[in-house]
Amino acid sequence: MKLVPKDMEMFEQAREHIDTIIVPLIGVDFGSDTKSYARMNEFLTILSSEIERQFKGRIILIPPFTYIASSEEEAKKQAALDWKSNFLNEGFKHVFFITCDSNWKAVENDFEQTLIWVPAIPLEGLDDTYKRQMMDEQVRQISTIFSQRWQREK
Amino acid sequence: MSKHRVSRRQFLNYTLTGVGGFMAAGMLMPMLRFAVDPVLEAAGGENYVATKQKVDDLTGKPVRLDFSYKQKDAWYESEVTDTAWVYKNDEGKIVALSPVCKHLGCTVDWNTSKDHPNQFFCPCHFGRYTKDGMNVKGTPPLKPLDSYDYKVKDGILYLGSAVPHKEA
Repeated sequence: MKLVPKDMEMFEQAREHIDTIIVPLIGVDFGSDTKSYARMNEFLTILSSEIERQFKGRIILIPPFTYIASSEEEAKKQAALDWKSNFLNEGFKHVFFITCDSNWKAVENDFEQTLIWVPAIPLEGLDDTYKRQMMDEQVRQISTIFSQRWQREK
Repeated sequence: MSKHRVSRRQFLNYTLTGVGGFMAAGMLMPMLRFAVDPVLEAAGGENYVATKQKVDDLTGKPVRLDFSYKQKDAWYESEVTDTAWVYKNDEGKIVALSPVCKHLGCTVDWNTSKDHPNQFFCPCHFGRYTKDGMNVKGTPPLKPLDSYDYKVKDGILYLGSAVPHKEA
């Protein structure tokens, strides 16, 4: 589900079924890496909305956690973890972070396997059908992470 | 000098009728076009979208079929991709099922659950449907999967809109 009134209406009715939140982590940079961060943004936006489509009935995709790419690692991490504990307090069982920014890999351990890092694939100049195929493949691979986690708890 | 001299009055009459006629026509034509337009448009009827699937290639095994069309949403036109699970049933009739789970709207997959082969399986809450789209009792979904209207033209499968399954 997305954070729109129509979906939230459904959420309120079936709250016990929706126990997972996805937070995209998206960096912004206007220094030397402008383009590569833009690429991550494009890729991750499409990817997360495709994941949302696949798992609409169990996942809420919230607006991305956006940060200045050059800002301090520790502060970013703390803020993201704050989000997580807040959602867990709200009764969600799983909070997943998904990002293309490899800087997060350094603090991966603090996220206890809820940080999913995917390398951004340049989409510009790609054929439309090919683009879609590739995204499908990515979604499928990430899907297994969710499925496994859900199966484990069952 | 010609014998038929056109008087100043005649000349002005001709030119003014001519120009006035054009101007009136310029205004009336679009109005007429608007009035007639719905009649011309109606021929289209329901929208069927062409898929890349050749009907002859369909087998009894459901295949995932993506098809896209333009959708206009207020001031924003986007290309929407929908998916269908398509196969031929035992009588050789084409069945096109919508992959949207009737529970909470996830996307169901064919034959992905090891414990329950040859069924549609929803990864979110483990809902299941038999091959003909009927929901398996005891799993979360309460209704069968929607199915698409379809037609065949030149050996290619065209899909229409998804309609709820008729209650059996």
